[in-house]
Amino acid sequence: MDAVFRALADRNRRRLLDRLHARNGQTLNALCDEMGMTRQAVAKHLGILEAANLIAVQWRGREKLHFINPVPINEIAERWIGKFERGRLQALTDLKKQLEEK
Amino acid sequence: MSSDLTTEDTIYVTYIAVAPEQVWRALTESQFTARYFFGRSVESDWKQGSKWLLRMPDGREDIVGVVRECDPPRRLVLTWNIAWAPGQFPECVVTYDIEQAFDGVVRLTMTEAHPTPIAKGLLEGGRKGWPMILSGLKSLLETGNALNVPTPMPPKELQP
Repeated sequence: MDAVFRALADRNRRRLLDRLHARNGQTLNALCDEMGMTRQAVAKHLGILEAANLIAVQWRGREKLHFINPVPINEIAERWIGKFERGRLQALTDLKKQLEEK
Repeated sequence: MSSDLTTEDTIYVTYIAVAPEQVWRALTESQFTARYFFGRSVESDWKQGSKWLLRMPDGREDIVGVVRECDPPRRLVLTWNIAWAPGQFPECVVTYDIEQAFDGVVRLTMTEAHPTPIAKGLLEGGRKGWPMILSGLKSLLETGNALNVPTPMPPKELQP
């Protein structure tokens, strides 16, 4: 669990997860676009996310594809969010979303 | 709902501190699935080419498909169709891979593949549901208790 929090503590790593959430299964090259950092730096961030099990990788021929894996985040949520809180939190999240969209 | 079509796979991974055989039983026996798969009971004789299905608590069939590959306790490949909306949505293929990650710990990978392009909006249900299912499976096997979570409902136009 420490590894998950450490991995999520960095803005660039959260951005990489956002980009995989928008389009899953991307290569390192594709993920380097618009990140404004070296390929090595992006590869290092991806390595940290993979070690925390927040990214799953799969080889397709010679291409290494990266997929977002939200299961550890769900496990963290389950630890502190019980079945009764879930509905209320969902209502608050929906409300926040609605207000922000206006 | 977005009309954008996609063939993107979804791949979810969880590490579970049990033997591979226990994960296999949890995937293929209804006494387990009923406790972590939103109350659904799994049914099949688990032979290649056989029918398999997930039954809702009220007895209706929810998901049906064919067992494409069955290699206990390592790999299970299933075609996946919504039973109550036959032919309305493209079939997808769900693969479970079970590997010994390190001593006493198994890595379970669930891959949802879409050979036929599918509307992005339809993936959302799985994106919300699978992490809960896999966390529930892990929790059930490691602690004996499944998570008590409400069943997420599919989008209105998709409800049975």
